[in-house]
Amino acid sequence: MDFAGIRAGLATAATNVSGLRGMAFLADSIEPPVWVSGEVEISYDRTFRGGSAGLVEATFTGRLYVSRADDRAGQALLDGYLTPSGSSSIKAALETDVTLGGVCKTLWVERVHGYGLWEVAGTPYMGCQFDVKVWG
Amino acid sequence: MSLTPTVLTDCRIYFESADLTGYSNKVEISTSVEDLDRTTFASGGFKERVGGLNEATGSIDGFWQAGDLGQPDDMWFANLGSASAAITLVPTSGAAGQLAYLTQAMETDYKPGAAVGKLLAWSAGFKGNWPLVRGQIMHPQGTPRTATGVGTGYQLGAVSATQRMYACLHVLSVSGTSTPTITVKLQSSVDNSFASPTDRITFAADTALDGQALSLAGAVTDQWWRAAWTISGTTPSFLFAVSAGIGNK
Repeated sequence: MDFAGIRAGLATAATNVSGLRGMAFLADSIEPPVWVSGEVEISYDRTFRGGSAGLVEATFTGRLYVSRADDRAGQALLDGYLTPSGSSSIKAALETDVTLGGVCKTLWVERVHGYGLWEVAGTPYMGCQFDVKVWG
Repeated sequence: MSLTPTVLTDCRIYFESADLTGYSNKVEISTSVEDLDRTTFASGGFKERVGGLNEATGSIDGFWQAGDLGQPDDMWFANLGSASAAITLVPTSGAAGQLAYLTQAMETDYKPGAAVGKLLAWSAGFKGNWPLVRGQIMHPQGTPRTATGVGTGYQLGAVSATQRMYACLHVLSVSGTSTPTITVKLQSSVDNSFASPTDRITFAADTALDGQALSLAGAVTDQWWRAAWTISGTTPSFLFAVSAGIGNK
């Protein structure tokens, strides 16, 4: 499984939402609104190997940050990104091509958590975390 | 002696025409003998038993995929209720000479399904028409064959009059034109030179994905055994696995 390729693929897919930036790594500074492909948890050998590698199941954490310069507007923007479908939906954008151009076998945006205030490089943002299950 | 544990990550599962290895994540097999009570008043106050019918059973779990008879969903549907399915299970890499469990069985159940958000999975079960035979891989699945040839000889041993030689063939991939055809045999010899091999088991010719299970009644005094194959067609290429072992009749 190409973990760097998946991070990049998630960041690129997130930019299908109009106005959203995408970053494929945990950056020291950000420019919201932005998707950041973050941590990953990996489970190997979900199937027998068959001479190569068994199925790998990974959960990527994606972080979504929006400005809190205006509290109400920032929260409204964030809420819009969390809808399960539609043009502003992060979930729909990430699941448009579930192979991310062929770097994984399939993916599923499972859940959002950690909705609230986040700090990056000393600056507070409104944000949340996405759990994206990826198989490859 | 101390244990060298086996972490089950690279076992091989061949069921008829499918290499289920990369689709599966759990496999269990069982061999048992019916416990028949023969206790009488003359048993001295103790239970006495005798073995009855032998039975082989098993189950396999995995993830769903469909497309052709080399993939789980197609293969399970095609073979449900079939009483002659060839099954080979290898705890390790599936290389030639590796220990293999083989049997001929009826696929008794197939259950695909999963909860929302989970990978579509399946479980399937089988019950043997043969004993569960402890044998060896005579030809490995991972070596493509494009021309007629023979495999490595293995000293499986002589087959007594109360035993049979059991063998399974799994044709897992076929390519080529002009009807690529493979005919696989199991040959025996008095020694490892195979100077004058004898054809003991000949599987039906295959032109497509297939599985076959055949057996030969003893006695056979030859100790050495090997797989041999005849291939025809234009630019033919086959992936196939052969397992064999001696078991009681």
